[in-house]
Amino acid sequence: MRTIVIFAASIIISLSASAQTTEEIFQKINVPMATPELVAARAQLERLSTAPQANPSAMYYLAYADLELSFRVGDDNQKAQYIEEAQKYLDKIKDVDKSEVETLRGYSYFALMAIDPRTNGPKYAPDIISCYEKALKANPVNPRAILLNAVFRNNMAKSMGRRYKEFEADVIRSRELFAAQDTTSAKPYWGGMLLDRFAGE
Amino acid sequence: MKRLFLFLTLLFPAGSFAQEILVSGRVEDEAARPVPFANVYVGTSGAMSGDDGSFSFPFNACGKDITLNASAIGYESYSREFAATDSLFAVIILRSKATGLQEVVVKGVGQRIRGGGTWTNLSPIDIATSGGSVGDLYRSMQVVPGVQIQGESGRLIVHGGDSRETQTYIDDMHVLRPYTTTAENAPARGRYSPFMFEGINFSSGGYSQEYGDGLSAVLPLYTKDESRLSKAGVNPSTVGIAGGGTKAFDQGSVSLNLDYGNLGPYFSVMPNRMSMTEPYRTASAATQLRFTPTANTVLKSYISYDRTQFTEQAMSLSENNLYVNTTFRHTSGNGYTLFAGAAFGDMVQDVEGALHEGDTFEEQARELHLKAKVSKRLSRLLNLSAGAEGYLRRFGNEYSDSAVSRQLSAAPDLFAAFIIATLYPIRNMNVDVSARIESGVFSPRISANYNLRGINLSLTAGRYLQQVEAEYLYANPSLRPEECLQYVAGAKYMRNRKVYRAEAYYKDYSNLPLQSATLTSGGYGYSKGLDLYFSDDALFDNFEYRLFYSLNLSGRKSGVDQEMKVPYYVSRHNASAALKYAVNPLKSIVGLTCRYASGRPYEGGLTKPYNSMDISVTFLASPKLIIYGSVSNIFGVKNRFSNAGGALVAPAYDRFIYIGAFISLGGKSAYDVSNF
Repeated sequence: MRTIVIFAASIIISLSASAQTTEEIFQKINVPMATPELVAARAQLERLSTAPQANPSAMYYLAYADLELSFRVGDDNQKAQYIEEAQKYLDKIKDVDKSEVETLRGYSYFALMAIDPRTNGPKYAPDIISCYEKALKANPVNPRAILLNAVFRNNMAKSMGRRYKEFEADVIRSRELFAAQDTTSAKPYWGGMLLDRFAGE
Repeated sequence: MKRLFLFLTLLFPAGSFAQEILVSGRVEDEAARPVPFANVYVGTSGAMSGDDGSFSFPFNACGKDITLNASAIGYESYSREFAATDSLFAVIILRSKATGLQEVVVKGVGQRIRGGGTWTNLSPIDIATSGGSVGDLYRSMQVVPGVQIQGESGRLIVHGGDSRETQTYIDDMHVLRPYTTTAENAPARGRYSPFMFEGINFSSGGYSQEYGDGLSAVLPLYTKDESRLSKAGVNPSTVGIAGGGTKAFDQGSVSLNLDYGNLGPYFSVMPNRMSMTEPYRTASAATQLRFTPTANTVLKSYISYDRTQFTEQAMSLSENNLYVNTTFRHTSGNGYTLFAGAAFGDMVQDVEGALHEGDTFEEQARELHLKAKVSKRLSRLLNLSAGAEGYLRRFGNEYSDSAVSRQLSAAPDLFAAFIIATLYPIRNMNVDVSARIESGVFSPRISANYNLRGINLSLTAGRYLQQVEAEYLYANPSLRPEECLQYVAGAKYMRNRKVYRAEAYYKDYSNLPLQSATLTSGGYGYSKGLDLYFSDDALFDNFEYRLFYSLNLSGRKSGVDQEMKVPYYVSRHNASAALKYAVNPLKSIVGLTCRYASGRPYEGGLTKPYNSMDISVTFLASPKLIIYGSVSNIFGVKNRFSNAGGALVAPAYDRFIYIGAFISLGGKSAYDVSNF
């Protein structure tokens, strides 16, 4: 009996040590960071995602890191390569909150659109809308989905000389939801900085 | 049992007691330049390479062999096993991805058609908003270098080749009749809306051997793999009304579009040279089913049917056209991409009063195209694809009047196999080597692309075959396939949203049908020329312009021509300037296109040069309403053309005006005018 307890304890200790490291990285990626740190975090996530029995969230955060980097590099080819990588990971993700995955997928089309809005806007607008709709259907209080959906619809309305009527209400609602998030777990809580990046547009 | 547990307990936190080794080295590209920020790792331990490409990190090896991995954006991943040692020093060479030739395609739409004269991923929006496109795919293509500018046929004439030498493909399957039938000297239109397609590619020469039975050019069109949004819309216009929609499901979608066109009301008020007693009318229905059970599997089926009718003077024409296209594509976990497709085209045309009152003429064309291919990236240096296809064809016509009854038929079936190897021998270079066996004839093709300090250089040479026209096969079924050797050299440079392109080509035709005392395959010919292109999207905000010039020198001894002659459809000089400006305060896009083509040969010498200034305006009235207007030849220039008989002819009309509205009835998608 004693042997079984020792064996089980060893397993729990090993697993928790491993989980702690992984969780720390997940925590880190959720908060805004400088580009070199983001590149380093991305590298760690890539290693974690290739490990046997990897935490499925590693691939989710890897896709997120790629998309964040696509907004930070200047070269269009490099942007496209980061987005292509992100979409590749998104296609492989399993067992991650559907609302979060669809939000990130919509964000990836948004990133593609941002490379060349005139050409890619009409091309990817239906995909963006569809993804955010699915995300909000799966979780109507996902602050990232609410904010990104509002930003996209507002930009689209502005390109036609109009405005998205729900924009301010959506931004306020997402701000409240961002503030109420659990920031101590491995669940996604990124997106607060998007309020600064996009909400003023 | 107790011992086993103890043993496992000792093993489990093995990392604590394992042997730690130092893994270090350098990451380089193929040119031995350091690659910084590469992720180098063994398991979950690793490091980023520095500015000089160097890296080092400790790893608990446990005395086992280790797998060293490295990756960097824009490069192929690296993975290699090393034997367990006290330390490991490795020089990792990362190879750039195949997309290194500045042709990154951000969303896959089938394969690229590398080689000379390729135009990949043309945007349907760009096409539709081109000045004077009147929403027609083929007319819009007349601003691509190498495409003959002309106003009367509406068909693609490329690098001095007859329009039948250019083949259209939907999802890599052949389209038997891509153009609508028309009244005499009225331009044909494409049967398919540009908005149906996610990717529109075009190769004006030297294309892959996957595409056979064509001597000049290919236009591969790719429908969307998935439509994520349910939507519906209608499109009333000056020439008819269309409407339809898409219902999206989790794993697929179904789309339907109905279209009715009637030129009667339009030509009752607009000047024209036609003598229609019953107006030109078309009715069409199209549906597409898409099914994507997994991220790597797509099954699509497209079905369209259209009927055209009109009566001009004593001649009454009706045509029924059916096209069915089903494709399956799957990429397996080990990197194989499998493709299988079937396309069926059936056209029946009935003409009464073809030559005189009381006669009847019926023409039939039927084709079943079957194709399968497999492709895989075998290594960093090699991508291989191979396939086979068959065309089962039946052509025939029947003429009868009170004195004569005549039936003609031909069954020129065709079977072919092809293999395409794409090699990446050095950084910034790829070489396509392909071969096709068609009608028992071996046709090789080689194309090399090299990026020299930002300038893409390409050289292509290949042999292409095409079965002779059914008209000739009726008279002599043993005619050999027509043949064309193509040589294309090109250069392309892109910088600061400006594109510079130049391309020279030479085409050597042989085995053309020649009617002398008997009908033989003794005809031959040539076509050579130069295409120049420049586009600039950066001159000022919201404005872009594109300029092209093409020179073509052609001669043929074929058909009834016993001497080398310039074909009647060829003009030596072609030029166009296409301007587009987005007027944001007015929520409009204005497109203006000026087209010029020098005179064409006819029995009286050369026709006057062709000139046309065309304009299009797209007005985004609201997210659910787009108003589109297009006028061709706004100054009403009286252009004249030569026809196959060598006569000078006037087009059916000098100017065409199209005004339409795209109204979204359901869904929330702005400026998405496709019901598909």
